[in-house]
Amino acid sequence: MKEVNGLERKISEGKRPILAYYHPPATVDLAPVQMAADLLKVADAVVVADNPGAVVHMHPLVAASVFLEKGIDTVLELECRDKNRLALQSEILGALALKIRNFLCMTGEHQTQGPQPEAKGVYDLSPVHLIQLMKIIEQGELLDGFRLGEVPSIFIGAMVNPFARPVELHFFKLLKKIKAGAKFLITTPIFALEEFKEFIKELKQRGFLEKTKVFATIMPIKSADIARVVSKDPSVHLPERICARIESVPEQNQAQEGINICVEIMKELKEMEEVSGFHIMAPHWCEVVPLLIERVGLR
Amino acid sequence: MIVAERKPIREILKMIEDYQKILILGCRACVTACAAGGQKDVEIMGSIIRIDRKRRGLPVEVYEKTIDRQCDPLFFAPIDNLITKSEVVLSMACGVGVNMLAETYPNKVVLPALNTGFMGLLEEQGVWAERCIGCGDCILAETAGICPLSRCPKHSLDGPCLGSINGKCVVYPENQCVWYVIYERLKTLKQLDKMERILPFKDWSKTVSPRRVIREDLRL
Repeated sequence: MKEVNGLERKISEGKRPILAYYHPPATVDLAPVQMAADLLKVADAVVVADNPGAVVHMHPLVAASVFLEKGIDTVLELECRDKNRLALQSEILGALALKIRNFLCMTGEHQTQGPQPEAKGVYDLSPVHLIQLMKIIEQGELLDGFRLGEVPSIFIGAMVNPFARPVELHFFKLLKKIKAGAKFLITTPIFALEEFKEFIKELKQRGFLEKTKVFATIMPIKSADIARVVSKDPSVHLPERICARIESVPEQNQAQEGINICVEIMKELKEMEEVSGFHIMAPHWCEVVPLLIERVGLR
Repeated sequence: MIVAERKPIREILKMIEDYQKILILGCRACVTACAAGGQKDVEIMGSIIRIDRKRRGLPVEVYEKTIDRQCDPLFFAPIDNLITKSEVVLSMACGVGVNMLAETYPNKVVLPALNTGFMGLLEEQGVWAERCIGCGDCILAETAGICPLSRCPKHSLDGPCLGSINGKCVVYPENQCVWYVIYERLKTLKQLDKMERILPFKDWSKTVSPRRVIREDLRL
């Protein structure tokens, strides 16, 4: 029997782990990561992003190693955009050697949406294949059949957008992710609770919740300008009433209002037993993570 | 068809700057269908070159010809004299045609007038769109005849990405999400169970250049 990793164990014990999303810096020194680690240590694990937004950042494995050194668990993002199956396998081996046990399998934003649109996208594997690849490694093999010896249990995650339509089409994709071996799902940011509850109902009806755990994503919005930018992202469902609410307060109070909105949403999510954990997505606002945890009473 | 576009005129004029006897060679196959390198395009190109040289007071002799196919040397034979007497052949075929000319005439300078794009179809008047990446391992039987590799910017083989909302592509919102198209068509065909299948890992080795098909039964 393989040892169950920390995050998975916490969920099985009925605890609701808190994940904090983190963008590694675009620097050549580790000081910013160390500073972030001090703020994010309140979380159960830090999700370390892999060139988010198709923008160059420090390699997530390097940033993750800083968190691990400080005793903070991590979830390593793996994006299919920049790496072929050889690079992905070597990265997974390196991560496992560093004692990273949680992985988030993603495609990543398209390279043309970042500041270096001339880059060649790789897309050798799709996320479902990446999940399958992780399962193969967990069973002690590489894709070519090379035996790795003992490999620890891996907590494999995937992303899900509860607000994507048509629902049936997106559930087909989700089904494949779960069939492939995704043990946890991280949602896109939740602002529309009623729609999210519908999504959870659907997950339950299809029996998906028996196989996978859901981390609900909270995205604190710092200003009306940011709200407008976020509202243009098709993968984030930000209702107009939320933008209007942030805009309705004076600029100096908008960050506070963004936090208030999150606290309200989190308090409702806290009441939903189907939500196994939270994922606070504030990569440029790390200070807000301990604040939200305290205000929602998660500790 | 192979879809191509004419290169910017300035780039073409610069390319042929040093030559006075120029053969502009069109192709009646794909590039005629996509209005890039057919007879009409050859005539326009000839006029542009003559006007440019006249405006600058420079001599030029332009020959214009369009053949059935430039990817087959058989069609070069009737124009062999023309090719021989020209200093340069400005090919208005796809890249394959340019290569064929270069391989057939080792001593002749051959220049491309087109940028070759992709294998595609005419979506609407004036709009050509990619439909096949030539992956060498066709999966269209699994996807209702609609190719996700050529139409999804992320080459997704497993379904729509998180940004596909109401059937729109997140990268090119003017396009339909190809997985939405596949899903709708499978629904019509009553084959939605195919949406649940996980396709095997793609064998990209079949796309490694230079590719070649060898038919022993046809070889001499």
